[in-house]
Amino acid sequence: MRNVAGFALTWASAFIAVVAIMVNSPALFYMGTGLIATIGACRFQARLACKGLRFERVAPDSAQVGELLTVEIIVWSERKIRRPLVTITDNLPEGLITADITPSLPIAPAFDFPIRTQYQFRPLRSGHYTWEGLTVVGTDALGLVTHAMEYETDKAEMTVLPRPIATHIELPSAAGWGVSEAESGHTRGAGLEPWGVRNYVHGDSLRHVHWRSTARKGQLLVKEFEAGTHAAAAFLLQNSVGSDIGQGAQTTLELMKSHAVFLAENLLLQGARIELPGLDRNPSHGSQHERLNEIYEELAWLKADGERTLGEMASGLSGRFPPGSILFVLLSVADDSLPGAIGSLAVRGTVVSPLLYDAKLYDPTAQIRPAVDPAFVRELRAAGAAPILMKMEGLGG
Amino acid sequence: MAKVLDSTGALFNRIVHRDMSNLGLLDYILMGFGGSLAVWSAGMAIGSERVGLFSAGLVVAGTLFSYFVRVLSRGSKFLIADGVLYSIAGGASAIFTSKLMLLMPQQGFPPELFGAGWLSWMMIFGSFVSWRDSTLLFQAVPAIALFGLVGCYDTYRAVIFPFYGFLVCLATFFARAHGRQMLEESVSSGYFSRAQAPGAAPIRPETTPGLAAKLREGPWRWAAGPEWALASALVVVVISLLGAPVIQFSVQGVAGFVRLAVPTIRQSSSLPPMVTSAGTSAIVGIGRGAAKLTDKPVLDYQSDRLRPLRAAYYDVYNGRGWARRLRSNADPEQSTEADAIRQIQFPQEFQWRIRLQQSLRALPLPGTFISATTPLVSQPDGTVVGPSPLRGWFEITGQSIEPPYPIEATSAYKEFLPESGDFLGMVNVDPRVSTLARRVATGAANDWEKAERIKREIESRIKYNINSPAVPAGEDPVGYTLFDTHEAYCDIFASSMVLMARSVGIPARYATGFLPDANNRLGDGSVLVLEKNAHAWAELFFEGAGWVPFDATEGAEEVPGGGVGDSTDDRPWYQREWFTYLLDGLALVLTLGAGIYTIRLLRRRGQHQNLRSDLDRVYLTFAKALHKTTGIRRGMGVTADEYLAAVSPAVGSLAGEVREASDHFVKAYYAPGTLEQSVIDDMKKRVADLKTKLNQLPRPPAR
Repeated sequence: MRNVAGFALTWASAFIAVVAIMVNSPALFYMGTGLIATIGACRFQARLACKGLRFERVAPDSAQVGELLTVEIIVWSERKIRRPLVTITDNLPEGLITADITPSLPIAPAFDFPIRTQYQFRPLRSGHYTWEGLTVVGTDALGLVTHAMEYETDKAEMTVLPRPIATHIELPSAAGWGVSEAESGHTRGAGLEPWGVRNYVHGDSLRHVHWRSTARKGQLLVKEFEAGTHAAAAFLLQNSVGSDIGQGAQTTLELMKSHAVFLAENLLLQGARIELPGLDRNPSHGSQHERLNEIYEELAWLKADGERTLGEMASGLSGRFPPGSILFVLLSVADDSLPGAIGSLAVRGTVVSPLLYDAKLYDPTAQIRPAVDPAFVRELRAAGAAPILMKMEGLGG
Repeated sequence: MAKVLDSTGALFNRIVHRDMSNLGLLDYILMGFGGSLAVWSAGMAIGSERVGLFSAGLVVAGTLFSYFVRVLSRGSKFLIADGVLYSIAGGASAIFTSKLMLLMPQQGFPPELFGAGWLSWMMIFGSFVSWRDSTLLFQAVPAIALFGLVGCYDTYRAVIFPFYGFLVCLATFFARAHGRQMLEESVSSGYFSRAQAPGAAPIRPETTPGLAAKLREGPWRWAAGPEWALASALVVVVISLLGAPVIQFSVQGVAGFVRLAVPTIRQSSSLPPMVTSAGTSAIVGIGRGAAKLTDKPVLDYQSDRLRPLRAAYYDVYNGRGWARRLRSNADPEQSTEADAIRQIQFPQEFQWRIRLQQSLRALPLPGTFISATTPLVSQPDGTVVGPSPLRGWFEITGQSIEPPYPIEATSAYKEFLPESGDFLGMVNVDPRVSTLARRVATGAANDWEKAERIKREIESRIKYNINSPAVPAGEDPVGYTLFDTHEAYCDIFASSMVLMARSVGIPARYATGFLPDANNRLGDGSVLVLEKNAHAWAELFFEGAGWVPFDATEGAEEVPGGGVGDSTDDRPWYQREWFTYLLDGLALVLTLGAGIYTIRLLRRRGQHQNLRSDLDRVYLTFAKALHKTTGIRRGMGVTADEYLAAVSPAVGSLAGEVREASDHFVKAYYAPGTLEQSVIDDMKKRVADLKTKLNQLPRPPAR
């Protein structure tokens, strides 16, 4: 509203001034001068409001996708003057997709003490973001005009962690995790064994409902599994250039990350060891909680800028995992090198479970061969893998 | 001084911040007052204070009405209709401007001032539907445009004072509206809700008191206060008052290149302003463009000889016309003018029987009013008025001060006291006019000869042209005519005579009324006065003779086609009243039709959208039933036909019915035409039947 009013008043004053000259009317000269002086005074105030400021930004180090964040900016005035209110527009990085971003709190910077302003937003895409600089928008006392001025600030850093999205996959128990190890007799008790029941949470499979306990307690209870002593799972996400299909916050990589953190968290709780090949910089051997934080952090940093194919990455993992381990390979674009790599991993006792995403649902016009392509799925099966077609719901903020 | 500034600043601060959170009475007072100044100025610009007061009163009433509407319906959604209503009001006032003028006193703005009339009515109507910040603020647009028009007409130079008043009101309102916007942004920023418990009621400036106060104690503590506002206001005033004349002077080289045809100022009926403004207005413009004088009768009266009928006189020249100095406290009988008249040796009393055939505010008389059989009053300014507009028969006893010719007086009377009138005033007079007068009068034996010489000079310099164009704004009408165009009608002739006579020391005044035509004498000896007999002349005061009329048009040459007889109301058929009524009727029908059509369209669209939602729900039921039966879920982006192809093999014998239902859905969704409720009902029934049948089919194996 204020910009429209200021714009209209500016043009009105210019028009009256021109007409005053055209018709040489004294009253119009007075009116035009009065209006122009008003607009001029407003512009002067708005410019002055932006001068001589210093800033410090306080942004959270990390946050999760969809979480409401508050960024505080502390402002000092370097001049002892009173000013009209100013607002601040932060130079958030382009890649950071946001929602519900609020205007900043209008403030009057003071000379004698710092004034805090703030704004809020919800990040919608995981990643590690850095930004610096901001724009101060000054107004005048009447709110007729605005003046923007850019300021340098210290660099801010923030890691947006992926948001876990509940999904359920059927572990390849018949020919997969633990079973091969049990059959080989290396370790008794390896694999996932039920050891108790717990309350149902969203995302649990109805197949794991323990009906007898449910009937007895009157609430939905599911079987809880325990991983074997040597059970291990690894997640390999497709991140080659061009494999992240979709726009904004709705991309296949983002969904993969969300599913991966959900699955990893569940498996960690069951006692499994989780690895992120290619991403683990310095995996800790601390508590489950610490490991989980690392997984969130490492997945947050993952970008679709890799140069290696999934097959190349998977081949390099041969012999890295103990027998009976399972490697989840999450992919949305068919990778012809993957079936070959699966074979070599199977030889070393690692079960590969490809989780396939239909990239065409995100961008029907994309010139790619989706991972759910029936021919590709057949190739994976032929290589000994048990591909799982992932549900594509629940993406985004 | 500093104390005054401080206290004024504190007062301003309180006004700006008082109950700023909501659009309140103070905001309405500010914009109501500002808007009324605009419409009042427009009325003053056409020389009618009554029009100005009428418009201003309505704007104030409308603004208060809007305030009460807002108070009584706080939070109601219908308030957002104000924008649409304002647009309708603006359109309606444009379409019906001519009719709306009839509702105003003295028929409001003349047709030439359509723009001012439209904007005034737009502001009046708009004030009744200003229910939110935005519409209240929008009133500034027609207001500024009105001030601009008043400035262009250049008939009311004091407009700058109402304009500055308006600017102060507008600025204060802007400051408050800006404060409200900043407050809303503060709430949106999460400043107040950050420490709020989950599930707490949302914080809103309208419903949560004390938010602005909290901000003023915290992040707004150092906000620029009243000293800034006052300093800005002072800068604006100083720059305007000092700068405007300087700017105008500095651009004189290029200024005024557009010759604005200033339209004729307000007319009652079609009478020219020199008559209609008598008794109603203290000012009258001159040089306002072609006069449309008709053959309509104004009055008839019994008289043995043809004397000019004076309705009013004016003494102060304001550069664009004439004004009467206010002499409300002066007793006309005690004035030096009255003394001078009493010394005249030949006053004669007459009985005049006058019949006004048109309604006039002041009675034109061929002499000085003494008494009447009806309640009439002679005002200090010389006009004879009644309690209401005059019409019908009047029996008047009067005194003619017209001297018998040839006049023997030769010296002008110069002993006027200031309260009698400013009959020698030379303010706003073009110096070229004075110089010319003195040059012409050089060598004259006495004042009478000076006057005669001046009259002859004017007659030789100016040709009579009733169709002469308006004098451009910024030009002195007398100087511009005498030295540039050399064409005018009676008002400029008379003004030239008055100013030039004053230039050589002869008291003079500008008189308006009628000059009867000998050809219009009726069978019973009475004289019929027509609209086209409206006239203006100069009256010069001579010792022993009183006010002597000097009509410089007598010996002036007429421009072919520009004589009085040539200026009749010859409007073409498309400007006639019956045609404008027809157009207005058509416009009304079209507007109403368009309004009804729009409302129906919106309602139909709303219904259609509801029906679409109903159809969606029915289709979801249909798809869910199929999913339950076949185990095939309809994915995102799967069309109805694709889904049909997927499930058909799994529904066995019901494939045909499923296909038929799906086709109906496709048709309902995509076929041209409007979705009807009957289609939805039919689909609901069809899906319900199908669902029953599908339930009887064997379930697919669990996946």
